[in-house]
Order: sequence, then C-alpha cells, then structure tokens
Amino acid sequence: MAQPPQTPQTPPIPEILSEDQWRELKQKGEVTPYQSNFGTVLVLLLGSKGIGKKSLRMKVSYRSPYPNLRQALMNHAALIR
Amino acid sequence: MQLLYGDMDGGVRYREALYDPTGFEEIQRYFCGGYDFDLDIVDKLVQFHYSLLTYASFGVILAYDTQSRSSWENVARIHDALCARNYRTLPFPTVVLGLRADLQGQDCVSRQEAERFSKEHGCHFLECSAKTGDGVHETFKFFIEQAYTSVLRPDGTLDLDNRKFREEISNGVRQAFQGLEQLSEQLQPDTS
Repeated sequence: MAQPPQTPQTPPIPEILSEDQWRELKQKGEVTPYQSNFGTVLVLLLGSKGIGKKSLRMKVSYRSPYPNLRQALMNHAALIR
Repeated sequence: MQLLYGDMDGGVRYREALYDPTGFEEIQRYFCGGYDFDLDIVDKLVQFHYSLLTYASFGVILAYDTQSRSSWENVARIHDALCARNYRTLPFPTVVLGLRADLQGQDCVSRQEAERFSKEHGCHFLECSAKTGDGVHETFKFFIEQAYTSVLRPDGTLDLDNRKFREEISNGVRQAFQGLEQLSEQLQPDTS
C-alpha cells in the first residue's frame, strides 16, 4: 500500500508577547529572560492625513527616561523635513 | 553627523533633544521564542529613509479611517505606488488596517469591501482602535510572526543570517521606496 507523501512539518510559532505582557509574566517568574535579539522589525505606516496614525503609534510607545541618540536624530530629521 | 547638524542649526535642536529630561518616545519590544524584537514604526518618508539602515525585517501597514471614504481610496493608490508596476502582490508582509474600529455602525467603508481588496492584493486585513486598544497589539504581532517565520529553520531555530531573505526584502523595499517618492511628489498629503 502506497504511503502518502510526507510534508515537512513547520515548527509551531511560540506565543508572541508584548513588552507589558512579558514584564508581567517575568514578575510572576513565569518566563525565562530572552536569549538574544532578533533585530529591528521596521513597519512603514502609510495612509491619509488625520486618520489616527499617530494615535496608533502612541498606543505601542512610551516615554523612555533614557536619552536615545537614534530617536533624537529621527526627531530632528522630521523637524527639518 | 557633525556635517549634517552643522549645516542646519549647529546641533542646537539635537542637543536639546539629547538632554531633554522628559525622555524620548520608545516603541515597545515584542518577545517570541527566546528572542526580543525591536519594533520601529515610521510614518514619514524621511524617517523611512533613515530607518532602512537598521532593519532586519520589513512590513507595511496601509491604514485607512473606517469613517472616511477618501482615506480608503488612497489605500489603493498607495498600494499601486508601492508595487511600482513591478509586483502584483507586494513582496513583504502588508496589512490593510481599518482604524477607528470602535465607531462601528457608522462605517463609510464596509468590512467586506476591505476584506475583498486585501484578498485580491495578497494583503492581510485587520481592524483596530487606538482609542480602546482593541486589535493594536494583534496588528504588530502579525509582523513579529512574519519576521519569525521568515527565517525559521525546520529544526525550530532561527537563521538570522539568511542572506537570500534579506536580499529579497531589500529589493522589494527599494522598489517600494521609489514608488512612494513618486507618489509623494504627485500627492503631497498622502504619505505624510
């Protein structure tokens, strides 16, 4: 009897946590610290003016108490546009 | 760097920004499978140009206001510009995103219409509300998932030095950026 062709199994994707969720679980001791950095996932957000793009961006951002050179450069680039 | 700021204002604004005691806007990180992902959201071409230096994975959100017909019509226009007549579907993860989804019942753009457009153009369709927070993390988690699976090996580890993947994405991004610049020249308000 012919065996059905075997398709390679894709490993399951682990649960994705936002920073807030991760911190919450870490405090409870339910997650191990991350092992390494993937890098930057750059998302280009496009659309007409005044539709709420900034509000969306602000929903996943926070004010960091630490100076950030890269962000400073980007802010300045936006100012001189 | 000194040349850039020397030409502008002697670095005054830069120094002000650097020592601003209130800090800076940071985008949340996401965590998946032992890796942390730095999310970077840009909504201006000049930021886009700068951010291309650092990215490891790339995606696009085509956003519209569910209450605004004209903003929806611009989605198709921006999509065409990104494709730049080179692609039928974009070579990187793209989400058609309906904003202000909390104002249901007054929609100028039906969900069915947006879903149909997304399906036809190989995009993922999502809705969210920045006001209530519904769907916001789901939107960005989609991109994290795409980034993760794009370099996932069959044994479950990640191939972070996957050059082929990076080259494919880079080519797509280059085409998209050219298309956007052309659109930006024609339609100033649409990509600001």
